[in-house]
Amino acid sequence: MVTIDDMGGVPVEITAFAFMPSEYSQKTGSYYEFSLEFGYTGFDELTEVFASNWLYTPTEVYSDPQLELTNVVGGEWILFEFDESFMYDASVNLLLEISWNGPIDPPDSRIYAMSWEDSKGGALVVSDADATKGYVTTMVPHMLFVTSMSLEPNTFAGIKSSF
Amino acid sequence: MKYTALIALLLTSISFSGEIEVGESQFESLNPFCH
Repeated sequence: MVTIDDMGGVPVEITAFAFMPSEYSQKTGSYYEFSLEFGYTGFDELTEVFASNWLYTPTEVYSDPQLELTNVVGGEWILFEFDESFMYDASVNLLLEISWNGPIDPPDSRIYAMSWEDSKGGALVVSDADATKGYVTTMVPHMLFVTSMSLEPNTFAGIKSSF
Repeated sequence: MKYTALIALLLTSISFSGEIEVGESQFESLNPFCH
């Protein structure tokens, strides 16, 4: 979960998302049925039931039947560029869900992401992609959102003056 | 003398690219990839 304030408080078009790998990560990783979904939550702290946290049905912004990560370097973002961007309207908190299925192949290809301690339970985690419940934690991943802020062409102005 | 001016301003779509970073790298996660 990412708060409105964390997102800057204004609508943004999100075109990509990134995690920060640790320096102890392996350089390659393989993940089956990888999926990244974006949506909204009405909560300021997550509950243990995954489905109940979504305010609306989320949008899958990135998926890969078998995600292959290579040349991973600690301290350099792992970037996922969306096929279609996600328009965040800044009305409520942003919620995103990442899921993948095992086994990890090869078994030693483990990539670790850096995290930070939030003041509220902003993350919900479980080690089973089919689980409906998880445990809420204050350990939240270090994240990066690539955005595009647009001014739509509705800013026409017509001025008529007499002098 | 009377002048009438009609000025129409048209701002075409303008995009600004940026990045929003949330959190920091405090701890290494205990589990692969995300957590």
